[in-house]
Amino acid sequence: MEAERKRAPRRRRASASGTVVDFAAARGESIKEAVKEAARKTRVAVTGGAGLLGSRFVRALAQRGDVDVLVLDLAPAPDVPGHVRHRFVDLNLPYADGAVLKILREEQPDVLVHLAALRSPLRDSTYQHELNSLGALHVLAAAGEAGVPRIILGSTTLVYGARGDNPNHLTESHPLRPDPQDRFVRDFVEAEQFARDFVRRHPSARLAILRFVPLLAPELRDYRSKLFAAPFIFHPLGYDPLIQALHPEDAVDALVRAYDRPELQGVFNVAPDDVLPLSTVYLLYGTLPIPVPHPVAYVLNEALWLAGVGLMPGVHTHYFRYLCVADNAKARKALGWEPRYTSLETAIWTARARRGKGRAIDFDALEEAARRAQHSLRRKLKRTAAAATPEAPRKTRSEAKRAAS
Amino acid sequence: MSAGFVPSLPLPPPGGTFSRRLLGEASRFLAENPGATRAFTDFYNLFRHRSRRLEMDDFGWDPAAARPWQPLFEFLYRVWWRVTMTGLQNIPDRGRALLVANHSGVMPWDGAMVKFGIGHEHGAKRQARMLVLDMFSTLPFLQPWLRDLGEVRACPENAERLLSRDELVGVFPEGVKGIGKPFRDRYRLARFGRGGFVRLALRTGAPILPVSIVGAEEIHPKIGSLDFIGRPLGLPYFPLTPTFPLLGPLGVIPLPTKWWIDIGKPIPMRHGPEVAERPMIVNELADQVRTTLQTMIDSRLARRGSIWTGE
Repeated sequence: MEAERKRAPRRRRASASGTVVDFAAARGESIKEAVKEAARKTRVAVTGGAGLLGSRFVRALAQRGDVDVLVLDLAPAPDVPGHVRHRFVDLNLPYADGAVLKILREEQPDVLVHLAALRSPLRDSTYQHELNSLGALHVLAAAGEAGVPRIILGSTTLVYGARGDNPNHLTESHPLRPDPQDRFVRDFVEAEQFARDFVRRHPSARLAILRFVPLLAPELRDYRSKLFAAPFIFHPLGYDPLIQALHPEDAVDALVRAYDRPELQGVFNVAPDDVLPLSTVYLLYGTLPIPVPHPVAYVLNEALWLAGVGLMPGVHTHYFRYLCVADNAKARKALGWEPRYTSLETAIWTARARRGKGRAIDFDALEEAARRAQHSLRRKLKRTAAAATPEAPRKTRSEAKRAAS
Repeated sequence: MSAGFVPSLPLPPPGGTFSRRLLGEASRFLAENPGATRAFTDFYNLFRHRSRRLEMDDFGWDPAAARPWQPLFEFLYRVWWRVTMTGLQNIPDRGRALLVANHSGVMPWDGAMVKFGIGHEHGAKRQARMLVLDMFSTLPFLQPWLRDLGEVRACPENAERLLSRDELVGVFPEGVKGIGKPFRDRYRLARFGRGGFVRLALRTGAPILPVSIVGAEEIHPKIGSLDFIGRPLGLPYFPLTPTFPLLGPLGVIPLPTKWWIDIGKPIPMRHGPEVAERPMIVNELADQVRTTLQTMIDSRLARRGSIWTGE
């Protein structure tokens, strides 16, 4: 490998490849010092560290001096400090577990963060399944074999499934009931199932699952942001579900806090505080919702999907018809995390950046209104928290009167 | 304003509602950029949601969107059904409470009237959050509409969240069995679910207020059920009333009976939250509430004269 490098000295990217020793040698530093330095730091391996969420998380960790970050992905993470290392892993290969195990044995990470997953439905559902579901299986199997003590798994709140009989706020104990036909979401459920198997097999390891609400950001190009930015969309007539959108900063904050709690175990919803109707998102983006009766909407979306134009399979229309809103109370308590942005602010920020020009909407006024909405929501939530703490049964007015007389 | 287009709408004053400000901005914008892309879509969306505000609670209640519907409820409450409401002093000015009412009348107008009455006649103008059956909360058009009005799908998680933040919550424990009961069974309470509302009250320490609604049974006398139509549409029943489906859309108009809504004394839960896990006691408490409510209904029925005038 060294010889290869010498023969072809190409310009290095911001992040380097290889083990600590290779890395130090490449930078002309003392190998002994580098090894000593590495031993002092907590070692974190991040799969999918080059993705939107992964690269932001890697950046946040790399800013701290006490963490040695290793990115396991197809490509190095963009815009990260030079000391972040990258090793190539393709989870879509049949024996990816062997490759991951080799790396984990060499690196001995203290924490493994698994974020490698496709966040949009893919027409090539085999590839999707291999990565989202079996990729998690490979990573968990290798981690178990290598004896990684801590794992953080990034999942999504889509796993609850959008159903007509969902409660308005889904807590972590709610059963996972996505449509069985929805292979995209089913793969995430399978990944979580593998995580549960992992916990059963390795009771000494600590595993936390963070279920993120789908993100929304101007630079994000997942199916949802593409759908919202499309000129029109077939919408189930007469439905207007409440949706959530998570700001990437909040997601990263939750990940970092999960990382900072070594004893963390269990499942946590990472969700913003508020909800917003889908119609408001259309309004912000300037998308024209073409209302069609809901059975037709499913068929049309499926037809577009099969024709190679659509962005999601027909069955995923559930999420544009029914509620799938997650409750963040557990994450707030266990992680000490608090979302800084509301869904509304995230949506306005994204819509403004993507489709803000040539529009009849005054985004300055909207942002001001969103800030006010957040203030009033915060006040309400604070009151809720204050009211929820004293558990003693309250006296009604007539009871109090009776007691007084 | 060099372009030929001059907005005919007078620009609204600054600091109005969200939608008015948007419309004002929109007209100014169109005047300045006549060939703007997406402006049509913006106008279409703005028109559809002109009474929309950005401030809503976490269940999607949007008071601004609910306001235009108030005249309808006011008409039904004061003119159509001439509702007499008693026992409003039993509702606490603040703090949690659970209203338990009898359900009737094929269409869930009784919930709307209880909510409107409390919102307008109670001293503290409390907003009751009525829990809506699944069958109504998932129907197209009804789902977003009920949400704007502040209604919430009936399930223990939702109710507990509302009660734990000291809201006034209204439930109809009879559910579909109550609202869709045949006319011959009027004012006879059906089974009270599985006592979920008692468990709720025990867990949250909320007092139970029985609410008897008299007059709603006769608005749509259900003399039969056409299930062969209802089942394929996913409805639990398809009512046959003297006016529906005989008169078509006119059959949806409810009959103008005279209503009484009586709110009883609170039934305090003397047990602690741990009793919620003991089904026998829960069932007994549910039966106690049911008996109280049946007594209230019966005493009001005994004093009622004509269905239409009440005299």
